[in-house]
Order: sequence, then structure tokens, then C-alpha cells
Amino acid sequence: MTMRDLSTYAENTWCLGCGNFAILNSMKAVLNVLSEEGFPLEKVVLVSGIGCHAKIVDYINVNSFYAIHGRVVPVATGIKLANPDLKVIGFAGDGDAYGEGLEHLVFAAKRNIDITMIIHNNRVYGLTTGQYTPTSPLGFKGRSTPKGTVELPLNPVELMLTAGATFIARGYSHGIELLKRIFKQAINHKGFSFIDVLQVCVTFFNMYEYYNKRVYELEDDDLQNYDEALRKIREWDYNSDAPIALGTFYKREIPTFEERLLEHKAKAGDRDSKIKEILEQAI
Amino acid sequence: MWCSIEEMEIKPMDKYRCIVCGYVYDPQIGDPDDGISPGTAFQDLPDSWVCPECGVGKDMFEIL
Repeated sequence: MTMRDLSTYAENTWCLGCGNFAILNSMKAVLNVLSEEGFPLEKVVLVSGIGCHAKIVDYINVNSFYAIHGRVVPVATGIKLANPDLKVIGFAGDGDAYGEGLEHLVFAAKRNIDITMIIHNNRVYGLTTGQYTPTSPLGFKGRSTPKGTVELPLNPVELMLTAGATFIARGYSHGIELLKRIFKQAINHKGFSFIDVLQVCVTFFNMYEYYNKRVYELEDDDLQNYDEALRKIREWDYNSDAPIALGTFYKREIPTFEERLLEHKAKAGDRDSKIKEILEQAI
Repeated sequence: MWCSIEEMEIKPMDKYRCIVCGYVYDPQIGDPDDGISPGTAFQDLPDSWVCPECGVGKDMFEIL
């Protein structure tokens, strides 16, 4: 079977050296694999937010939706609830998902809605030329903080574990084979899947050399062990010098939000028909 | 396809590394996702080929 051409007419305008290319190429490869395995790509919907990352939906020839800043999750949630047969994949930046739209991400994890969220975490606002984000390290010097930030970064992976996400992984833009593996696992996971991708912004926060010296790959074992996942996740806090684990931290299967919601609706439907039946008998 | 020893010397199956992100092009593996078959020497990659991880061109690669 030949690879489906997922390219589009849109000219790619990311900076040369940008880590977004790895996410784009990984996703195209995974969608091709899904297609080869028999999943119709007409049932895939991509959603993106606002930021450099968002152009990714222009570059992949499947159904897509541009959301507004920070609102990828609610749009993706709405699409999934309207048609649970669809595979909904959201892309958001760290400013998008961990700043403006953080509450949506937390509630998606809490509800276990069956969508995949891929966060292009370059730890800087690239599109607006270099301001600090919730995951920029302490002392980060950018356009809005010329003397350095005075606040510690968020560990989004730890937040997602405690919020209830049922698939949690971290990738790195220099590591396309791992990205492909975890993207496929995440898309096939039944429930809320979250991937934080250390995606280097070569122009405003070039971390290639830093990450290349520190990253290592996790073994895919004991993935249902919450305490062990938390220990691995806390090894690096996005600020201090420490080994940086890549791969899947945690995975478990529980009923999804839409399953519970549809079951509830079905029960409610039974009740309505019984009331109608009683009323008709009484009248 | 047959090729002479001279040709093989001109087109060695060396690995090349992207100096921007660190991606390594291995001719034994090629880049199948971009239509590059295993066994394709770096020199034989089309000029339009770019690093799959960061988008830079062939001129940003160094021999390993």
C-alpha cells in the first residue's frame, strides 16, 4: 500500500530549525499508519490554537479546526461529544495550553474525555517574539522580562497526573521515532491522552544542546503505578539541572466522559418513554 | 543495480548529523516517511530533502 500524501498547498513558514517539523512529520507518519491499518482518515479531526504550532493544521490534509487562543480543549471536547466516532487530536502551545487555557486542560483530564492533546512546549511565546511562558525557567530573559523572570515554572506533566489524565507522556522534537511511537499510543488510547513535547524554538529559546545532554528514554513498564509515575515525573521540574525522562509515564483505562454521558442519556431516555407510556394509559 | 568500486568510494554509506538539532541520517534506514528508501546514500538525497526533525537543508549536515 502506498503512503497517502497528507501534504497541502500551504507553504510552510516555520523557521528553519524549528522543532515543530518533528511533530508535523511524526503526525503525518502516524496518520498514514492508521490509514494503512484501515482507519478512515475522514474520521480524524485536528484542532489547533493560536501560536506558531497552530499552523500544523494547515500542513496536514485531514479535517481540521482553528480554535482561538487557549480554547483547543473545549472545541475538541465539543467535536468528540457531537460525534464520538471521530478521533480528535488537539495541538496547543505551552502559552496556549498552560497559560490562557490551563483550566480546560485540567478539566479534560478530570473528565477523561477521549481526545489527544499534544503540547508544543517550546517554553517561550515564539509568535510574539520571545516572552516567558508558564514553563520558562526561573530567570528567563525575554522581551517582557529583560532582567529575567522571578517565578518558578510549572511542571505540566505532574499537573496532568494529579488532575486525572489516563495517558501521560513526554517527547522531544529531536527524537522523531519516539514521537511516532507515543503519538500512536496516545491516539489509540481510550480516554484523555496528554503529551508534552519539548519542542525547541530555535529562534527565541534554543535548547537543543541543553536537552541533548540530559534526555533519556523510559522503559515502558509498570505504567499503571501512580506513585512510580509521580517519582519519574518529579525527577525534572522544568527548572533545575536533572536528567529528563522521555516516553510514557502513566497509562490506565477507565470509562470515558462521553461513555458515561451517553449512558446517562440512554437511561434518561428510558425514563421519558415510561412516563409517556403511563400518561397515555392514564389519559 | 551494479556499480563500480570507484562509484562506491564516491558515495560511501556514511551517516550524517544535522548540526542544528542533532538528527542523524542513516543510509541503512533512509527516510521512508519522506519516500527515501533504505540504502540511499546522503549524497543521493534530492536537494529538496530537509531534516525531518527541524526542517533545515542538506547543507546543514556534517559527516559523522
